[in-house]
Amino acid sequence: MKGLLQYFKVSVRVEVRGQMVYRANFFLGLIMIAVRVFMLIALWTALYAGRAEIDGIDLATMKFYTLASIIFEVLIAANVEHAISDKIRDGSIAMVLTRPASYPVSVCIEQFAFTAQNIILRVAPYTIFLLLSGLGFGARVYLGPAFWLSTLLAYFIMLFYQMFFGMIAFWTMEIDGILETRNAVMLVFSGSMVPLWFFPDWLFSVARFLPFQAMYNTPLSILIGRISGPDIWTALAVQALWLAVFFLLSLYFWGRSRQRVVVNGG
Amino acid sequence: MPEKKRMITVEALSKEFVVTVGKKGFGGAVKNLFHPEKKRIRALSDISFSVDKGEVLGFLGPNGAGKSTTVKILTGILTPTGGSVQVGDLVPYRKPRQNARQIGVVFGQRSRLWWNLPVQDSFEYTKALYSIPDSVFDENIRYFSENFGVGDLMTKPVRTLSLGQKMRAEITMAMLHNPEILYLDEPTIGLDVVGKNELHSLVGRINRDRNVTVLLVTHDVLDIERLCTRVIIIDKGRLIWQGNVDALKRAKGNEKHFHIVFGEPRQAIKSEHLEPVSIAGDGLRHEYRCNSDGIEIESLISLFFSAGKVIDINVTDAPLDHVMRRIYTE
Repeated sequence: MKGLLQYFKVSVRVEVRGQMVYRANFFLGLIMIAVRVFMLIALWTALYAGRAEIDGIDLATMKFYTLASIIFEVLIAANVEHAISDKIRDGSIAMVLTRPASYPVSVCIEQFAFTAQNIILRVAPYTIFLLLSGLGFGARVYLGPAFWLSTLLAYFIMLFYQMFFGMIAFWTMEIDGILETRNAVMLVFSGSMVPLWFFPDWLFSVARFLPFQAMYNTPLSILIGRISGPDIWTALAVQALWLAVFFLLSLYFWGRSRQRVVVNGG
Repeated sequence: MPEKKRMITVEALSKEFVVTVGKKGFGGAVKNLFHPEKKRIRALSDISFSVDKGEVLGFLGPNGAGKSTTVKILTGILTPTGGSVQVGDLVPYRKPRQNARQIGVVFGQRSRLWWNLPVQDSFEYTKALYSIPDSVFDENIRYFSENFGVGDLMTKPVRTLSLGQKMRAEITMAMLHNPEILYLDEPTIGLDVVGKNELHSLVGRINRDRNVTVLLVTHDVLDIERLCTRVIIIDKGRLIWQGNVDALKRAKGNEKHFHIVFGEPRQAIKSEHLEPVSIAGDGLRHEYRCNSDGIEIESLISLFFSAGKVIDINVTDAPLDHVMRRIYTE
């Protein structure tokens, strides 16, 4: 356990220093996010066009939602599937498999380090910006334990969901096609592009039980009070279910992959 | 004399891969998409050998012979199709993580170092990964800094290092956790003469100072001549020869090479015992091979002297690469 903690600490350092090597890249990233925030704020302001609220959500809450969803996206961002499939494609999986750490555990530790780096370099400054800008003041926000639990579940669903897709590369070598198709579906059904409550009812019922909304829409809906009361329990249960599904799928495919390892290039 | 400790035992090892056979043309590509044709390829068959502690074993063979596949099975990356492998007290593919602690691995074509970051960071990362105690880590850094100048590289980002410096850093990193076995897969690939020399002295020194068993995969015979006590030659997935380096040269006859510089240009000397290898320098520099045993070298040398004014003459054993070429083509 102490070893893993040390491994995590060094990984965070490597991640943060890796980000700071290309400073221009880092600062441009911050500017890009700022541009995206102002575009979305302008869009929603125009869509509301002076109306007090749409579907029970007022403009202040909508602005808050916009900012919060961008921060949230960074918070649960993962790089797991590409980390795995890139290694399989170029054969550097060989290096990872000669380490004294289990590969899925390494993947998790590196993901935690990636998140720690994101919190230090991105989530913290954005949150300070959110608080200082005054955007979304007067929004109705729920920051209770159910929100944090839902966020934690979303984080781990994302992690194992990506680990599962990454493991597919042991069979197919290449997963970019699969991922692009999936990302297109995900963009719609996760609620990261358009909040799910603007969907027609039938589509909303479909989306509710897919894994995608469990990653973004559920915690964010709890945050702004779209999901409340006993519905919270249903939403959390759906999240827990998806977490279990992807966790088990990842482990199953990892177990089988050891027989299938092929090392490309020499 | 203490009994030699066996480090690696490989018996009747075989490995098969299933590959998709690519069909030609666009139609073939479409067919491949829906009905890929699978074929089993035997990468290794019936390989047996063993390595004692402290040995430097060379693994020689042309590209695609199965050298790297063998190393990948020994390091626990690949699971063999048949046969048995034991490294130390372990079966590597059953306990890859325990196996990782007793081995150091360097792949010449891949890097473990963090490209963007100073070498120091990669070392610290390895220290955490292997839970290396401070005392062991510091001692190893001191050893490699004093002997191989690794200390000067510590603060430099890996991307600014030369290939030779990078290889030194790679080997240092692979040795930080004091492994008993060091696998080097084509470590001299792309290195210049100076780089190769540095690497040879580094590996030789580690082997002597720390009694580390080294398994060196290469297709460069110079690596073998400089470093190895024993050689295994693999071709088309089969072990075709094993023994020590001198025996390898002898195994193919006591071949001698004559390098002569004549005072004036002349044509190749004709003799039933001599086979011209090359004639260069406008007919001044000749190289011959004597390919039969039981011939007196003296009589051949007098043959050269009678052929014209000899400025220089040099008799050498057959270079190992000539021996190798013949082994492969037989």
